[in-house]
Amino acid sequence: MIEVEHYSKLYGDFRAVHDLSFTVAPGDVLGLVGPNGAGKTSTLRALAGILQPSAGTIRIDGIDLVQDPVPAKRRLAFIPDEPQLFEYLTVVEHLRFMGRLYGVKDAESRIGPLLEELELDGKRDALPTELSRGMKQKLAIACGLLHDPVALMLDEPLTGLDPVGIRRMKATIAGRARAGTAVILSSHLLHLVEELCTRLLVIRKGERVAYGTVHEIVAERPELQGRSLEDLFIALTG
Amino acid sequence: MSASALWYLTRTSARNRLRAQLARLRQPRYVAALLLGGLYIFWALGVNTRGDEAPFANLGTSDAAPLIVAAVLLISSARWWLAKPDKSALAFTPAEVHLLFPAPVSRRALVHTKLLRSQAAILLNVIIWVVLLRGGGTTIDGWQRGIALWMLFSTFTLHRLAAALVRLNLAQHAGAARRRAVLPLVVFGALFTAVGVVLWQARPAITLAWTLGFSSVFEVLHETLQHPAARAALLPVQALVAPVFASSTTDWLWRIGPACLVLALHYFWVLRTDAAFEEAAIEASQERVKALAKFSGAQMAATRSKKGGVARVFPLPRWGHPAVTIAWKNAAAAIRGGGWLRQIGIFFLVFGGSILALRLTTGMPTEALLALTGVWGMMLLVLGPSWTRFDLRLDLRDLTSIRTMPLSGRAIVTAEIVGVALLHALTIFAFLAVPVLFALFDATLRADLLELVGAPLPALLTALLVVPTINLLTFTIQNGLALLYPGWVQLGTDRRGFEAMGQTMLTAGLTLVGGAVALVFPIALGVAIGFIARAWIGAWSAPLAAAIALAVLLAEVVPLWFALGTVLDRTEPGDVPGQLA
Repeated sequence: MIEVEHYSKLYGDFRAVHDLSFTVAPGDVLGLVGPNGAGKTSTLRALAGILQPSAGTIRIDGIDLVQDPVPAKRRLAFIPDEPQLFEYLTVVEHLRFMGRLYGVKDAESRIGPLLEELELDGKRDALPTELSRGMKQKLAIACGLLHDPVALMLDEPLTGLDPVGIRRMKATIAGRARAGTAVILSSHLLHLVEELCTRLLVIRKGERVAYGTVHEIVAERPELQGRSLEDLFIALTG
Repeated sequence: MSASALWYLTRTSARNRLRAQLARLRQPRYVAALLLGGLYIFWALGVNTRGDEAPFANLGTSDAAPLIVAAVLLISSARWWLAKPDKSALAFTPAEVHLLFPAPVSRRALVHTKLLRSQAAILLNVIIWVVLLRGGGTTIDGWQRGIALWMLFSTFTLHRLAAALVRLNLAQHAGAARRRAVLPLVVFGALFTAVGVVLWQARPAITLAWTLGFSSVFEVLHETLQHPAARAALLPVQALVAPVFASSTTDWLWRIGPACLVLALHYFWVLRTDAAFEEAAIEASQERVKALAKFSGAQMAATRSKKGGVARVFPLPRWGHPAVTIAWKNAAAAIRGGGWLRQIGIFFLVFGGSILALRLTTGMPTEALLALTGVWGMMLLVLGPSWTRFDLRLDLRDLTSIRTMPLSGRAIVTAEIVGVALLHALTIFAFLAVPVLFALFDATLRADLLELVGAPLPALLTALLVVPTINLLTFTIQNGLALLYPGWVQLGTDRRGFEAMGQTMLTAGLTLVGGAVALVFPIALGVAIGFIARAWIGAWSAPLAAAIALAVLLAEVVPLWFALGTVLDRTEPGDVPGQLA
């Protein structure tokens, strides 16, 4: 469960996010969408504990991320749009590192199936410099999934993946949600959002402009009835 | 037309960079540091004008200094001519390559842009060196020395660029361009040879002087360089160096003219060296981008050996706090990316080889060997933390990853500092092992050493405690500076060039001063208790004193780590240059 109440983020005098509240229940996939500069990354980074909120509270599995960051972070995973990897650790060493860091007791037995699921089993001893962009993305995702997070946040997760990789990744995300993980997915690929997400959070200039299922959002704006998600997005953010 | 556009680019870039620096002053700690720095510079240049106690003040009053400094500068510049062509001197930023190279801009204008851009680093170094060499009452005013230093640094920047262009002409072009490149090669080759041969002939005297201390080396070098061939070869460099060491305003005025001439000659030489450098510049820029990318995402790249393997790292410990992973990760970075083991090996061989050669050729006495070990050991202790950067200085470039880890700031800071302190301690122990190994095979040396240190086991234990103690302190200062002032301290593990020279000296100086202050109480208490305990436990009082000093020092630094941990918890990617806000 991810709970966000009245979250705001200021950079000096600039208000990046203002009074944002939403909840992602276990098994839900929330699509975080908005135009460039809307505050999506600031929101995701705050939810991952990277940025300190200027106001508001964020709870992961009931634990306040600001008051009690370590237990909260142990329950979440954040996959940034640019894979952040340690160039001097091999693929399998990355996963061992994460397993130790997150206190995963059976890390060794999880690593094999995870590498197989993400088609990395042939690259166990490869260094990140020897991986393609897509492979790096898969490794970053594997690192995030190893400890079975209760909250999973993905920023543009399909960047750099080939069509097969995209299909597998979508299956992985949907599978994690079915297993009870609360997922937030930020992407400009509206067809991906439409396919995977159970709810939508549309933000513009740091403020929430729509939140709920597509049906709920359309119900509030009857003029958008029957229009595509792309039209919906443009109407809400344009 | 293009000149005005390039001038606009340089001007606005400098202005915006200054604005970005000023924006940091919104944070009180930057204001405090700026005020302290400003007060120090005011005191150093305005109040303490005698400058007798400046770090390098003695250099200013020494007759030998200008000649020796000129020789050092000439020899150090030889690498631009003799080593692999230095394409980095031609590097432009990716934006410059993409936007300026296809634009209707002359090569001369591009060279001017590059020279103008180098001025920021030159001016910063001028300020730092003016403070380090300060002295007005007895020699010249700060501004006079500043002008002299600016000319010196600018000329060497021009010289480096000229060397790169000449070698490019030689390698890639034919005909007139190649013929034009031969003359400077012959001239500088002759200068290097003259100084090199004179120094080579004097090597027995220099070797002997090493056994008597630095001042003797200084004297012998000065005497050696009086040779007419060396003096003639060093004349242009000495002309550049001379105003820095002028003894009065009149003297400075006499000396500044020839320095101006050397600078002007270099400027026209660079402008007239019409090399088609675009291709080499693009290549150099791409190499720089790769190098930057290596440590912006993950600091640096590990590489495989020719056989296809990666350097083995000790297994990740299964016990202990999860923060152990941070220290393990940094050790992996040092071994795979930083070539730490290789560096220790080279260091071990070079130091061991030098001692062996000196003992065989000059019968180097034990005192000299210990003096050499002491000098190099102190350098490793004091300057080592500036080179060994597998700690927060590495990880702050990757703050996004670090901040998502389920670890408190204090756990991260502790792991970063303890990990690198132990790593560097191993480097120093490898170094100290050299004289110990010699003693194992040399009965005279063994006897001398035993007489000096007394019982070997307590001495060994003392060293095992003292080295990590000092490392913990020096790395705490270095990491503290990086965490408190990420906008001012250079992060990453890249090779630090000329532009970072002043900053390296400043942080090393701060480490030395801060370390000395913080060590006063632990050492005083340790020595006092050791002195009292000597009557009962003899030589074992030394490790006891070291253990007490370590305990007191830990009591000093652990609260600091916790405070720095709180700072890390509050540091956001936007606070660190080069990271997305």
